[in-house]
Amino acid sequence: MTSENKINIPQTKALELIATELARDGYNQSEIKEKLHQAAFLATIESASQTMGSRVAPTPLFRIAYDQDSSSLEFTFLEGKGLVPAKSAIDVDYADFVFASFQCDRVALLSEGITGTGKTYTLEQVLKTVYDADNRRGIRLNTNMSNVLQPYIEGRVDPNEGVLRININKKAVREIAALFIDEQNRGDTNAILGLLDNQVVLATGERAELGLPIPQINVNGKDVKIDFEDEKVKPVAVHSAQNPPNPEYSGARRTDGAVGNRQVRINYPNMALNSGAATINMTEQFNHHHQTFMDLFTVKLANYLDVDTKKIREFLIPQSTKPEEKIRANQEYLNIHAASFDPANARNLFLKSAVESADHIIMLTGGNDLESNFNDELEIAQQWTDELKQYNANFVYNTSVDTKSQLILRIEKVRAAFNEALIERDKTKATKIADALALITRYKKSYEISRENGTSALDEFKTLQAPLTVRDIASAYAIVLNDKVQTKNGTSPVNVINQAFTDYVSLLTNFSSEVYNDEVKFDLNNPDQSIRYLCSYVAVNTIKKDENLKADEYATKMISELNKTSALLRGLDDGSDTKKLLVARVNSDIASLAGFIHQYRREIAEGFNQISPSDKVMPRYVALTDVVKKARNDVKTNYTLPRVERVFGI
Amino acid sequence: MTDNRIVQGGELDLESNSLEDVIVNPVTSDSKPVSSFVNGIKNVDMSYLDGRLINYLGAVGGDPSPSYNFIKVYNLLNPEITEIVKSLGNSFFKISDLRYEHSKSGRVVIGDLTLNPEIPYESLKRAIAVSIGDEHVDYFLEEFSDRLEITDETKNIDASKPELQPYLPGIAQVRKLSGKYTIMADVYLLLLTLNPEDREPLTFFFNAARESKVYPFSHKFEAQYTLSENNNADINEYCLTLSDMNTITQNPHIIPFHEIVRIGGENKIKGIAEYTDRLENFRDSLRNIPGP
Repeated sequence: MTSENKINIPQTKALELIATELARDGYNQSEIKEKLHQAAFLATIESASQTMGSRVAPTPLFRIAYDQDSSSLEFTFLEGKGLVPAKSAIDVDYADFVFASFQCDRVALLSEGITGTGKTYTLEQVLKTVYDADNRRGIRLNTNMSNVLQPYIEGRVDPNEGVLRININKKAVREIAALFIDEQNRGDTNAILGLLDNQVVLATGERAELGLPIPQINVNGKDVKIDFEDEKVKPVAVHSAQNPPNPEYSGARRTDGAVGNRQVRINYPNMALNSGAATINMTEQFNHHHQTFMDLFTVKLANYLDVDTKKIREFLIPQSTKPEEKIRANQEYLNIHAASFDPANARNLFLKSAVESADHIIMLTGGNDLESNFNDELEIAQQWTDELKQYNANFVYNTSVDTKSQLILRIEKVRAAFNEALIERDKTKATKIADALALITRYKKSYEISRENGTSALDEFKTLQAPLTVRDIASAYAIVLNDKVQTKNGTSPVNVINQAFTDYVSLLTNFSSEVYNDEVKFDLNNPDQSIRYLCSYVAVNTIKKDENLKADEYATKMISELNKTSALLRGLDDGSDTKKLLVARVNSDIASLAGFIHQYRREIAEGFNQISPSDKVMPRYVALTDVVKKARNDVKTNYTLPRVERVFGI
Repeated sequence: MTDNRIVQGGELDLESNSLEDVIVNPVTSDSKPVSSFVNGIKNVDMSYLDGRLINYLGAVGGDPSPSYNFIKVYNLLNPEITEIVKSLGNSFFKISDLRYEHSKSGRVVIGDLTLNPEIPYESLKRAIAVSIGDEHVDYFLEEFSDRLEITDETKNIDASKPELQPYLPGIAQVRKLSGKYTIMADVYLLLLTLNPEDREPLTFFFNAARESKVYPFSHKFEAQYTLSENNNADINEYCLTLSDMNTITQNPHIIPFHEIVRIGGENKIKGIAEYTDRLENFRDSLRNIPGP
């Protein structure tokens, strides 16, 4: 190993100072981590915005509007056009997505647009601001330089054999926080796959995970210890740009599918008209981005955390011009940055309604065609009805979808425009984007409220921490599906998303109103609103007070109740073809739960009989959930079990 | 171990018998989905029409006398009779004697809401289920059908028979709904002017036209039923007006002819001419509404 390739022991004095002071103020370990993450995140975007404000014009990409009163969601691609702010609407611009990408788990942006629109400029400005030159790399691909691994490899001549050996540069692996690949589609796009998966693998088999080491803060009372674990790294943020694969750009190819489904494609708008004269006095002749940023960041961070500003600055700002002092201070910053931008901090929980509405979006956009998707569901319900004859339960959904209706034809048109079918990775990508959108929505709202009420943005940011909602997940799917549409020709997946959202909210509220016998309105943030949850809940509700029933008796009562929920649901499709798909899906899940209750009735009864009868449903609901969890780990004999897991949200 | 990211639910404020009134259909040997209409239109999904009727009864507009420029709202439903209305469905209700009357802001359609004494056998079963429980209906009919003379399942039943009244306790209450009301701007309500047996095929075409959002459903004729008492909105916003009726009946068959053919073709309906005649007669009856 060369001396260049040696990994230095990280500097963690600033982190220790912050953790120690917070511990002394009574914060426990998880509270310290949370407060650090929130403070550093806000200090970063505030300082970066302030540093770049006069140099980068905003590029609005999406508007997400949700009206709580009418339960209506509107997702709009803004294409660079700045709209007048609207109540209940959040506008997301390009820089927001870049900031979110630092915090979230591998949200890789691919900016595509005609040359000279600034698609690389904004990104370079953000990277230059947040990271020192040693911690960011830019590669421009062309037919002669297609090796995207170049920043991570080093060559040396083997003194014994006299041949060139290529190895992974371990120092680079742990010090590069962000990577920018320009002209992605002029090189070997497949080589980028590894980077997007956060690893570098050489032909020799040598491999490494990429990213900054994440310091682990351990607090015991008032004692603070910082250490590092090999596998805990903050993934490198990989962003790319390219010209469209049009004939006027020689050598520019269409994005490879496997690369595309790992990236969020931003159709970078030509902002010349929208920004007008506002960009005339902007110049690239400014090279102290990171220095300016650090001056602002240190003060803001210290203020938010209420720690000694002078001490923080001593740790994070070089105290002399010596190279080793610069390296020391930068390492202190990187450790604060990695600890607070750990993607684990941005992973949100999901509300059940978010998961259910995502399932309906998947139903409308996945599989071979809508009719087959629908018939598959009917078949499951029919088969369980046949299997459960002894209970006289009828889950048969006696209807059909009109494949020639305008509604179905419109959705099929969008599906036909996809470059490939909906795949598992799209769902993972949607989850990551939903995390990013939720983060962006949260900090934008925090600043809006703080500006309005004169409160602290940090306090608002902390208060607004919440699980992912239908709004977040629907917007994320709009972006994912938009990426899958090969040629636009007026085709927009937004209509499909809106349809799924409308169907879901309508069925949920109608069904809930019937069960509660009172009007129920949709509440975006209510953790208990879910069709499947309500169905399974009423099934357990019916036996909560029963004592020492036999297995068959419990099963009969619960299956009879599920049969009623199914009958109720099947009457609520309003004749809408897309709603029928939703009803069919939920109905067959409910039928599968009935089947599960029959199959596992002995274990369920054992579980129930260990819990005293009660006015509360949850004790036995949890017992039933435990049987489902256990069945998941059994040797599989029932392949509709994932449907039951979906009912319980496990 | 899996990393579960879904927020788990908590206790709900729910009665233990919240689904007591839900009617379930027993399993039959012929419960496969109906996929075509080769032998005429049957097994039509009437739930949308039933839903519109319930909405209407929940927010029916009252007296449009010229002295008022607002609608006095009668909410005809209470929780008890809501359940009966749901069970009986539209077949028990009829709107007759459509006519125009002057309101302050123009002529609006008025009708008499009455109850059909004759209801289909299936509707009767559902109504009985409300009082004795759905699991006992078949047993009840086996034991009592002779005495009550309801042996022929293919014939409508006279629900007003005195012998039936003990088993249909809510019917008397529902009868109190009868009266003169304004008709809301909801084209589905017009189906209630037909006999129950004629409603089914025409509802099929209405459902298909609505799903495809073709005329008249491409227009505004699906009332929102957001009326509340002392609503001071203009009556024209909620009720069918003379001008609305002219718009609705401008096509010879209400639904454009080419759409009827499309719907018929896609569903393999035999004897489409019979249905175009029925739709034409229906349109004619709506064009000839008397009034000032």
